[in-house]
This record gives sequence, C-alpha cells and structure tokens, in this order.
Amino acid sequence: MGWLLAALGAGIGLGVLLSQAVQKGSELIRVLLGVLVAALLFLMGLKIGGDREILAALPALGLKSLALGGLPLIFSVLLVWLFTRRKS
Amino acid sequence: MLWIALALLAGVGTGVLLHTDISQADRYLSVALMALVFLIGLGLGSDWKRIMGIVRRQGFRMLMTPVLTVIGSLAGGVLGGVLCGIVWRTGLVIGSGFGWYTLSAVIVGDALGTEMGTLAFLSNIVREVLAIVLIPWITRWAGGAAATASAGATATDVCMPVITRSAGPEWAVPAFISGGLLSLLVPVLIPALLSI
Repeated sequence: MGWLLAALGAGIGLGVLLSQAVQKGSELIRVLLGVLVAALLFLMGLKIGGDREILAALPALGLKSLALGGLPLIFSVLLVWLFTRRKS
Repeated sequence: MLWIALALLAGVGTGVLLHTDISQADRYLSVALMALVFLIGLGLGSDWKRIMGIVRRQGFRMLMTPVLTVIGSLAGGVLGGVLCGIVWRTGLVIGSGFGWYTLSAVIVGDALGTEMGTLAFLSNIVREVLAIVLIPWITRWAGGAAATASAGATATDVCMPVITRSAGPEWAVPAFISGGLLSLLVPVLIPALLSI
C-alpha cells in the first residue's frame, strides 16, 4: 500500500503545482484513465483465467464462493445506502 | 458500463486459452495500478480546494463507510456460511477478508485447512470481481459511499479507479481511506474471529 500512497501523493503534488496545465489536459487524462482501467481489468481477468488452481476449484466451490463473496458485498452496500439515504 | 465486464471477461478468456504466466500479469498489474493512481492524484491535485471542500463536508459519513462495511461484510459472511452449510464462524471469517483474497486465504488456510483456504480465496476474488462489474450500477443506484463499501479493502487499489470513474474524482480520498482502514483491519480481525 505504501507505493500506492506514494504514487497518489506524487500525483496530487504535481497536480497542485501544475493545476492549470493539468486542467487543460483533462480530456487526455480522462482518455488515459479509461485505457488504463480497461488494461487493469484485462490483467485482473488474465490472472484469474491463467490460474489453474482457481479454475480447478470452481466446480466444487463456485456456488459457495458466490454466496460468501456476494452476500458481504450486498449487506455492506445496503447498510451504507440505508445510512446515507437517512442522512440526505 | 458493459466495457468493464468485457475487459474482465476478455482477460479471463485470454488467460484460459493461452496458459499465460501469471507472474508477468502481476507485474503489469502493479505498473497499470501505479499509473492509474498517479493520474487520479493528478486530477485531484489540480482541483484540490474544491475536492477537499467536498471531503470535509462528508466528514463523519466518510468514516462511517468502513465501519458499516465491516458490519455488513460480517453479517453477509454469517448468512453465506449458514446458506452454504458450513460453520457460521467460518463464514464470518471469510467475510472479514473484505476482498483481500491473498491474505485471507493464507490465514484461513493455515487455521482451517486447504479447502477453507481455497474457499476464502475464491470468495474474496468473487467479491472483488463483483464489485468491479457492479460499481457503476451501485453508484447510480446508491451513490459513491455504497460503491466504496462494495469494494471493501480493494477500494484502496484495484477498485479505486472504477469508483472515481463512476462516482467522480472527489471519491478518491474517501475510497483510499476506507480501503486502507479495512486493509489494516484484515490481519487483525481474521485471527481474532478465528479464536471465537
């Protein structure tokens, strides 16, 4: 996490220093972000698809992992949604 | 946002077909993530005063997101455990991985054996993948805080670009804080829950 924080900090620092230039190039940054997000997701998929152990375990544990991965996500979203809905 | 699911599926398909060396994928993943986080920082920095104003207004609510994510994840884990016919405590422990599949799999595997370790690994991968695919929809339906909650610990890395793209650059800081706090909690919470 340290290097991510460093990259974020470096980006923020440079953004503050060169704010006008960055805002002029905001469209280019938006396009670059889109390309990089797509690349990131492709690589995430590549990691999952290229891992024989994950693929071998899917038939036996697939449904269980869907419940144990999906329900924590759904409950977290619902709780935060209930809280933010009441506040706003 | 169909392209998110398509990019992910294209990667899975390529991995299955090409028997790719995943250690290389890991290296490129780190580089792409670092470049992304840098660009997000650049955007944040260029609009720093306005974004900090938004973050300050969120204040307490920003810290509530990780707290509610913990409660929701543990509740979901217990229910998942009961539905899957495994011990509810195991569900609780797996839910407390918050999407950090590598660490949760190692700790759970050490304590409860290979099968449960593999289940922890897969379940937390499923959480991350579902979050990536659903964040645009969750943002539209329930807002940036709910999108951040869906990502759990991964809001600090892989999911952060997806959150900021869907909810706006002002969500980068709350996502980083929420994901960071949850990441710090995983190595403490899982051993504590295992000892129940």
